[in-house]
Amino acid sequence: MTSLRDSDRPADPGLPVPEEVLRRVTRPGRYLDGELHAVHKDHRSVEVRFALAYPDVYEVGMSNLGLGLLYHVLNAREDTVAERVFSPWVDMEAEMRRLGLPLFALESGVPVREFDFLGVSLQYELTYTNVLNLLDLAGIPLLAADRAPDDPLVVGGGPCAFNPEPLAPFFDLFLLGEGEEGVGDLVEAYREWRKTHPRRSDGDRRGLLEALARVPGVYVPSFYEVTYRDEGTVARIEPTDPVAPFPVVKRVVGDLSRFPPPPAPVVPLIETVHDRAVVEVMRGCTRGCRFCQAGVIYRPVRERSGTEVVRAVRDILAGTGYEEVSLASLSTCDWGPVAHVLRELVAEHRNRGIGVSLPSLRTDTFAVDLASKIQEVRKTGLTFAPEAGSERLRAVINKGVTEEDLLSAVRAAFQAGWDRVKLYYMVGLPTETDEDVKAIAAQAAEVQRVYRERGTGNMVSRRPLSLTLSLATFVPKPHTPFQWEPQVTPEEAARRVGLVREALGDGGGAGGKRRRRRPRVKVDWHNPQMARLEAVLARGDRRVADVVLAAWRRGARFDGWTEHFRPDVWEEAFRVEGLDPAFYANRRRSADEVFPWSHLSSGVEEGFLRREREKAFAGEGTADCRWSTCSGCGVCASTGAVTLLADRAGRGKTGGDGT
Amino acid sequence: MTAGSPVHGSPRWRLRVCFSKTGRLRFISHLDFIRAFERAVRRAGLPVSMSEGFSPAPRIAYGWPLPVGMAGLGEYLDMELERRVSPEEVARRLNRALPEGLTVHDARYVTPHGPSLMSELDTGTYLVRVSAGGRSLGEWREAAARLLGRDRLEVTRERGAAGDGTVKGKVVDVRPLVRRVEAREVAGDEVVLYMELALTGHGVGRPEEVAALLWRELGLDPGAGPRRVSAVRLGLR
Repeated sequence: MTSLRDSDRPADPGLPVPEEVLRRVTRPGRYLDGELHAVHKDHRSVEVRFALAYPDVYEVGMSNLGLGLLYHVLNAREDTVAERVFSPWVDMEAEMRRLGLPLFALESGVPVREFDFLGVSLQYELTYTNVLNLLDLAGIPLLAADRAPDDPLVVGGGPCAFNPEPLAPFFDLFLLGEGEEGVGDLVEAYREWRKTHPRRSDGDRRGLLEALARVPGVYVPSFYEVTYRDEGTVARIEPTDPVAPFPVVKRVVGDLSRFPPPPAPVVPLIETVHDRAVVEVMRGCTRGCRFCQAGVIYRPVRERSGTEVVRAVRDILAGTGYEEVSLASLSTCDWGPVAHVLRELVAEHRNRGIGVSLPSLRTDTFAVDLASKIQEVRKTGLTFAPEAGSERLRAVINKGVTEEDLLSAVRAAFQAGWDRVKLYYMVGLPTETDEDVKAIAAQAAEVQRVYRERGTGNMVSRRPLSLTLSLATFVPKPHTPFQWEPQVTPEEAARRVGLVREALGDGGGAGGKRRRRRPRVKVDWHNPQMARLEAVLARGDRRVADVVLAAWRRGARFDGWTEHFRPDVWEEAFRVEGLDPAFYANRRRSADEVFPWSHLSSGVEEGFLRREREKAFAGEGTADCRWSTCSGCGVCASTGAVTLLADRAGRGKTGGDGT
Repeated sequence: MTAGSPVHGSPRWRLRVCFSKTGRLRFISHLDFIRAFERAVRRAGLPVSMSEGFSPAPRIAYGWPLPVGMAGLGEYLDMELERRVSPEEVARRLNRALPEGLTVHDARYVTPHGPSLMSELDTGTYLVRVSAGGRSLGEWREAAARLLGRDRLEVTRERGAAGDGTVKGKVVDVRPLVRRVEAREVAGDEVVLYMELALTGHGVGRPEEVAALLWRELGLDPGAGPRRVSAVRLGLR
């Protein structure tokens, strides 16, 4: 007679969630922990407990490089444990609220409220309501001002921390810039404070925040007062505490080789958005596209050496068993040793079925050559980002890509056998006219012509061309030369997308799925209402925080997910709080306007941004300081970091062209 | 041809691996399990054969998928190696590389030209715990006997949400899928059932359906259904 032994019982005392809940929710693997390389430490053996939260689901958060880096850096410290927290999907949230289950950290299952720090990664404005939801599920008072001494310190970081004002009341502090060194400094400052305040409930929170505000790059919003003019713009931003720096300058890691890519990142048990090993080869990009915030806030360029990357790839593949590795950066084709290293990696790993990928391709034949190296057999699609259709508008945004660059790139791709191409554009860029918009369709037609004339080489595909145009609405971002510019309204964005469709001969069917004309072009169109909300939150001031709160209270969640985005809820929230989204999204700022982020510095001087704006309107280019003269952005002077380039052949520091 | 000799000319070795999937790993899907296993194979540095073509993949044949949430104590897969490595060595290296919850118990070489894993294994054996509904072991045993005596056993299976959001059901006769059902013991408010159910291309028996049918035999509220079904797949044969 068979009897169940205890070991056969499928109970798992380590599960932070009751089993019956895991049976009911979609993708229970999101809430399991137990992945390879997840770090488990005894909380009693450490001094500082740091929860690292990503305000979206597991699959999205686990694909973020920065979160993994901080996890590694913090857990490398003996005095600290870092554990992961993600947004529960809506079904799990309902279960947690029904059962009164507080938000927990994956590794230990310990409630987030018991941690010393709750770090929140702020990558995208449309996750802001999820941030509030995390705080609420954790049982942490939403307003920093309402928190007790023993509540966790809620600290934000990531690109959105460069204008975190719409979240200012909900955070105790922000860390500006790169966190590898900054989080360590925060931990040190906190330990120092705890020496004189042994219990978490000891002492006043303000004293603790003052201690932390001394760490370079730390911004404590409650230490600054913002006053407004009658017309709604910011009058002044003033520090109200003697320790509050003005401005707060971002942190920069001077030499990346001090922080090698982690060889053993957590390997998820379920499929994630970017389900592959990632090795960061370079940080920063100085191409100077005038719409791009990342190109400003991650300056200056710092490259890893080819040798270091080849070794890191070997280690991470051995440590994780991934079947693919991505060489990550803002523009990997610009990384000096790229050609040499790709050749080496393919030779070393190809016969084991391991692929190498690049996150994006530069729009030229060099990039297509690189792609040919890594996609010798299996040709998946190629993606290029001309961003604007006309030569004139590309000069305005300083996207140094000519029509000929694009056409010779796709020609090379077609001759090498590719037959799937995706082109990224924005509509609503400053100075854009209808002619510029129609030029997008004309460019698509040229790409089709090049495909027809691809020749009959034995490599070329015999299938029809699959061409996709991805059209996004331009979102003006803080700290860019276009931070003064209005966004076009959603209606105007829709009209311009219509112009592209019309020019393509597309009847305008939803999603561009009509197939009347061949060869067809597919048009992907991003929701312009979401782009508008992104624009409001990107350049919003502290008053917008009330709108975020009101929208969350009315049920806004996962605003970045098309199926959950509720424009009606947001409209209502703006109305109730008496704020006009157009004031934030669609208004041209005057030259002397005080921005809500005026006290926060990316290290790039405002004068540089103003000059770039003027050059944009004059259609003048600015060269990349890597290969040309210094463009005078000021980042090296204000951060103490400098541009560091790797030798192209990946050997020593002697220079020389390895391609 | 003896077990373990190479596949036609090319030096390949077919190894049948018996493993368990327990603990929290029960909650990952079959596809996620495959990804996790293949990553472990790579970490373990085993000389697994790769398929040819556009996207080379390790030559591993998996057995019947476990439903998400169900533990399996005796699951199988076949992997093809380029050279002979002792089965003990493979098991040792895999166990070092596998995430907690996946454990290799046994490995042995089988004839490379034998039938596929899926066709060799057509029965799953299960231990199922459900609420006993206040009935005695004797009553459960009688219900099991009555169940097996019936010509048809109809259940309604969901066919997924239709476009309009309604869930459509399909009536299926699962009698051919039920090979054996026994009530083993009543412990506290739970009864422990042993089942042998079909795993074939024509149909797969589901323990929770059989448990619900037994409830119906016992005249227990069919609407409520047996609470807290928990099932373990003991093995395949």
